[in-house]
Amino acid sequence: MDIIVHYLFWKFVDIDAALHDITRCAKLLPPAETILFRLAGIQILAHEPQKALSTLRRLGKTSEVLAAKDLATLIIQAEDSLGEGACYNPEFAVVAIAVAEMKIRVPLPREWIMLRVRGKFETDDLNGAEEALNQIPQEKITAEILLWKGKARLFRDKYLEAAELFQVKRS
Amino acid sequence: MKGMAIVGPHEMPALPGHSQVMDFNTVANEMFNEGKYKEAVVEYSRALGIISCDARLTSDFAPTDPLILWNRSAAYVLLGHYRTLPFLEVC
Repeated sequence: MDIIVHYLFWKFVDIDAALHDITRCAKLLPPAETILFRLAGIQILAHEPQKALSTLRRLGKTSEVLAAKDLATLIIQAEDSLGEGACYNPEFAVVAIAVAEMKIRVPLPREWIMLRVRGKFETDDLNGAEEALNQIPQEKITAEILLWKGKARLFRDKYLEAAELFQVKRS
Repeated sequence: MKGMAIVGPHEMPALPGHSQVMDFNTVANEMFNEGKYKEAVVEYSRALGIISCDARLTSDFAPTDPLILWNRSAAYVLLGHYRTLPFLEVC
């Protein structure tokens, strides 16, 4: 019967079914990085950003160092989910927040620092965002970074400083 | 990682006496690796069906086998025509 049901409904149940299976699997086993990563990945695919964030936070609590390749996978997945012209995407925000919160011992590439900045902004942590921005060496400052620096100043009502940064960006 | 058991489905010890279930899993994995995700889902479901119908097996796999669930979750994702992601391996 189970098999017939799968044949009849496979077109409609794929991601929901995947989520169901991996959730049951995760409940049966002790928490492990591999399981939590898949769970978070499928939650992102299933458009369950809050649950994905909760899973990633659980992962962040149990793991001191993340496997960079696994995290990169989630980042790529989240980036892929960004539609053209979309300025806010919950899936991307989830990964950004997770990166912002997690302890990563290896030096972060600029793209990841920017992800961390976005995560800090998403969680209204202005101090954290500016701290992350300040980690970027002067020679690697780009227009995007200036834009985020300007935004941070703007949120602090430092209009002149923000305008100055936006002017630099324009030039 | 401190104080965390590193247990993935692939690291579970082999369960004796369940060759039929494992046969279905092996066949399903072959289907999966050939890109036949629909067939793989059916084979994984057969394995889960055996588990749920046979009380002796259920006691060992109780309440169901995480390995098969782990594998079927990957097959379901790929069935939905999502591109292959590195975290979707089967074992």
